[in-house]
Amino acid sequence: MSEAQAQAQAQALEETKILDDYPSESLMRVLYVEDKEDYLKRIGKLIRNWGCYVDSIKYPIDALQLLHKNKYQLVIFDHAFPDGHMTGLDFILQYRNMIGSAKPILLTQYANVLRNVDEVDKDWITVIDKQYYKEQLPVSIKEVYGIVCKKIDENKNQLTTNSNPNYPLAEEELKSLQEELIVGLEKSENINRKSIAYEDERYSIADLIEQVRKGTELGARLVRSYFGVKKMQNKLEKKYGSKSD
Amino acid sequence: MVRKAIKKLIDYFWKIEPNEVIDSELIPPVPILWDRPGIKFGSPYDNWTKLVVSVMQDVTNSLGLPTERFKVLLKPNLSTEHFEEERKKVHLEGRLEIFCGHGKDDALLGPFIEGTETEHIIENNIKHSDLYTKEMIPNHNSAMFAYCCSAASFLGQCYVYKKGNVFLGFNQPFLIDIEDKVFVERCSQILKASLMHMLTSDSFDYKQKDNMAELYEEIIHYYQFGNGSEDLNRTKYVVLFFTQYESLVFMENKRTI
Repeated sequence: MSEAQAQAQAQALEETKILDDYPSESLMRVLYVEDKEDYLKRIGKLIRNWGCYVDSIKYPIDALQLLHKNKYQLVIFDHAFPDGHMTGLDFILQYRNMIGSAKPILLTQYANVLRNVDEVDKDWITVIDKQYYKEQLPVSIKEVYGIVCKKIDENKNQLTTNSNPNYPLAEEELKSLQEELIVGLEKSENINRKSIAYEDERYSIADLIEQVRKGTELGARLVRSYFGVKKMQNKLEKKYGSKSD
Repeated sequence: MVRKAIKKLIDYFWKIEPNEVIDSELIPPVPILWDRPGIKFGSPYDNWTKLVVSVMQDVTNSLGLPTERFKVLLKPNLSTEHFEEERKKVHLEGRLEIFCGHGKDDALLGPFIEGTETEHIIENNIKHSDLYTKEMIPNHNSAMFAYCCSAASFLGQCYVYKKGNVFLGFNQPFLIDIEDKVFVERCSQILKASLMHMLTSDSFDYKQKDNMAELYEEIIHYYQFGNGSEDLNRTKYVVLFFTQYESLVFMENKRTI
């Protein structure tokens, strides 16, 4: 057996050890962006085996399309892409602007450099060293695995009605907000006039109240918007003073 | 001094009551000292587009546009070909593109043009065609403001994929009550003040977003705690405006490494 074959076997063994610890059930959706095909296949397969649904994509431009179409709980990026393509960090900095976006992991050979870049928000992006020498790769993978497990636990605890991580609401709080919003909307004038346009439909205030009661996607968005206003309350009071002033 | 005049103008727009008729003679014309190359485009073909195009027209008149470097294209039946033709006349470097109307994730929409492949129906069976798609994005150092639903979610991302480009827009669909005069008037006030700010600033950056967000915050505050809290439609307005506020994003391609 050649040295290379031995290395490959040892590596496969190491991966198998990690595979033994898979969480059994998870619906987590992961986006993995990497231009090198061997990494793309191997790491993609590993994460898939941990019980996640993985979309493996080669270039950031294709990842954009997927990020727009699907909701991901975890996004793993490479940093260096071939010439003519945006770097992983550039892409992530833009991706941060998307509302409801998942926290990304930057898996890169330049981790030491990137950790010291000012633009890298340390609380938001996780930078992991992707070892150049393949026999050390499982170390990085273990680190990713730790994050994936943590994320899976968070997912389990998250309320299904609250898909936006920006607005973590407890069930009771959600109900009281719903009630408050419905009471407020019921006071509006002309509640039966279908004058509110949203995507390709027209709604009346009565329809919106119905959507909130049923907890549909639009209803949930209205409640979140209302909650957003509540969150703004402190900021606005500080800026303009409260009504009683 | 010009800055002060612009601020006064913005204040003027903001203070007018919703039902008050805007007398264009009262608005003093403000010269654009900083004449940036750009194009402002839109097409009036339904209630919403007629409203936003009339706002754009007002701003255009007040600022003495169009100029040689800044084109204004506000026409019914505006097609992609016509837009492209007009855009060729605009200087490539540092171009500012402003669009108001309807949008979807991957395109800015215009009126339906017979013979085009794309056809979208948004509401009331009104057909739309693609007016601006990702293939038309300028290569570098350009800025776009799109006052329409969803465009920032994909088209905007593609826009800032090109080096030096910036994009200000909304990444989700927002609710519009087109028949509510007060809501519509408040929306036009925000749009007017934002366009004024954009066209008279010496750069297009995050300050434009901050300025617009501030206008939304003011209006939300007005209905939450101010005189508007007596309004029967208070909750409705707060939610309608907030759906726009929360989806407003500014994106830029700023290479770091």
